[in-house]
Amino acid sequence: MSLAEWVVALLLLCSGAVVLIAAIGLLRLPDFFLRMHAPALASTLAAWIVTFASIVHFSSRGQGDFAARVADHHRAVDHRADHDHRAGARRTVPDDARRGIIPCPHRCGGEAEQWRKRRTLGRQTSACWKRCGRPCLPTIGRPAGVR
Amino acid sequence: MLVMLALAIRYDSDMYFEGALLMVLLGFVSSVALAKFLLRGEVI
Repeated sequence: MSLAEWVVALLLLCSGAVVLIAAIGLLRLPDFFLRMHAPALASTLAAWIVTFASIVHFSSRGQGDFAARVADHHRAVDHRADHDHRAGARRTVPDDARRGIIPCPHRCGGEAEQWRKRRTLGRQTSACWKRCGRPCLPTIGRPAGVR
Repeated sequence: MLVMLALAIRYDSDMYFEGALLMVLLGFVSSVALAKFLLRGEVI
């Protein structure tokens, strides 16, 4: 049995127990309104639990075993890490989607990293990491001394 | 209704949900009718 089936079975058993308690209350409570009120609450809880069980079941239908999916995920992550390692680790550094690799503004032929700050209009540029190594900080326009 | 949902899980079918939905709808309407009858003595 997979994990989803275990979870579904456990939720259905919990629902059955709650419904049983509701039925006992419907038998034994003294008043009409008590007999209506308390089993209504319990059976509503049971309906929620069965709903969660069906959600789990129909969401995990056709997905296979949970352990096999975890193994597939780890294999995919290892494959991607290996691919990144071969492609060069520096290209895959930018964690933000807004970052981009541009040619160095100092025209040295290297590359710099440019990103847009969140609440400002200008762009910021990192140090060129290939050739000149100078910090490139032209937010608007070019820095002094650069053609 | 809960048995119908459990049967939907057992036989892996979506059609049981339609029946459960109808049952819940009729249950709501009938409980509203019962409450109005208890309060006023007539349904409508």
